Amino acid sequence: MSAAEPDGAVTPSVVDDQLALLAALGSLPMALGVVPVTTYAWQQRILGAFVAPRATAGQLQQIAARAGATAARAIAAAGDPDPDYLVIADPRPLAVDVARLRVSGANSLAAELVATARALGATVLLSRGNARGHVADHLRSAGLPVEVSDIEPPVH
Amino acid sequence: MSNPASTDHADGFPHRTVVLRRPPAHMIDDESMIDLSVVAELVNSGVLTEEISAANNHDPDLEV
Repeated sequence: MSAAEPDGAVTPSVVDDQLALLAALGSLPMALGVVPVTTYAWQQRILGAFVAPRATAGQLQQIAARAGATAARAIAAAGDPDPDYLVIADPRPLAVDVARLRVSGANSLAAELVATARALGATVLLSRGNARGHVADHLRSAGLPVEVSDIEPPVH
Repeated sequence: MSNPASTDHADGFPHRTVVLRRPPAHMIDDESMIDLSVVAELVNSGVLTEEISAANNHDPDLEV
């Protein structure tokens, strides 16, 4: 599936980096027929967290570790995700829309997210930490449907 | 994600509760590391994008 040619058989929901990482690792449950889609910019953000040499563990690294995945597993899962778990929207058909959003003040993450959600006619699912701030402000300004996913662990 | 969305949150967006599931076996490298309660806590406390915006491309997940 690409952003310009959504598969009519499924309903895409565009997710942020943390939800995308959980989706790529197979831990994010979605309703039947709903496919989590993320942007190339969010994918790069996830991968950057794992390929960069670093002395401390960032939040994405901690999420992967606590979900039982090494950095190598996270890179494999997010770098070439199983489409049953996560789809990366092709950014190329969105280039003009992204450029317009960038010059209007959106950063690259926000611009590609807004453009992707518009192109897919999709709801955006944000983790709670991203529900305030720059990205949320631009989604709100664009009038896009947004929901926040409050994540809970399974009940044992 | 079929549970009804709750409203009236400070961020102005509807919230829906999502219960994490155990990753499939082929995604797991070390089962002793699986702690989905901590994953949930980490995701719910994330402030990544706000920090990027505030510092203009500062990315705490790329901090070395």
